Amino acid sequence: MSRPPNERTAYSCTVANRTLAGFGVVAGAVLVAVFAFTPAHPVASLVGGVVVAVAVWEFSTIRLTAGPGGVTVRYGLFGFPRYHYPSDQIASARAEDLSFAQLGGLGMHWSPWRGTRLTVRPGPTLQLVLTSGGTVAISAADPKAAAAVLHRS
Amino acid sequence: MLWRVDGSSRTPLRDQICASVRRGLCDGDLPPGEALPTARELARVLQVDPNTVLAAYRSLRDEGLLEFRRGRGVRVAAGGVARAEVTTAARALAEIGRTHGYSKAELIHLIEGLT
Repeated sequence: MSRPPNERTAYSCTVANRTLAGFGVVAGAVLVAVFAFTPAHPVASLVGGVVVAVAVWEFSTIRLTAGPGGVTVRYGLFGFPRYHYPSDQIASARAEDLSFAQLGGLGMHWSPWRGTRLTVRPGPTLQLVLTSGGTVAISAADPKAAAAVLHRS
Repeated sequence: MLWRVDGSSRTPLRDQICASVRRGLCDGDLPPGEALPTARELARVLQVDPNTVLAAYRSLRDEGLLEFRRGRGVRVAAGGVARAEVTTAARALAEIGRTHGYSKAELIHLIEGLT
């Protein structure tokens, strides 16, 4: 079916790793519980527990929006950190299914051999190749749909 | 979910964005509580004015399909899915009725006879 020439299409999704979020809450709770038994460092344990729980929860959800204007990625409840890749900086986009080993871990990180990773779980991933030569892997519910809207940019 | 706008269409961009949300609700792409892109973010990737997206979101909020939560952005309202299905069907009925020359009063009378 042919599309109108002036049609613009965008794709958005939310990907959450509930297991990771639950782990963060449990880990934080354990640290807070330690506070009750280590009077020497009560404040540190309490603060540490809350920070761990919030940080892991925050990085267990990612929101992706992609379209002719580029790609935007936001983490967690607060939408921070946030990344934006303008379309003129994106050379190509494709859908991949990456294992935990291929991702080299979850969350937000960069390495010279794997590029930038903005992920919350292994599996369906949108892989961007930037005009700078860098790569960005982003967790996506339907990376084929995301890549398709970028190819039509 | 997919968002589609056609700059050459006679339908205002705001209404096209509303239609994308209603389609997402009916297709199950937007469950209750799901967060939508911010107006600024969606406007940037769709290359439309942010005020257009904001107007669409406000219109959908007034219909009861979306809710604005301070600090948590725009989310699908509880019951929004069902409401979207009903309003989509109602729009289709109004369009078909208009095509066949039914007046508003006749359509209302028809619905009253069915309910």
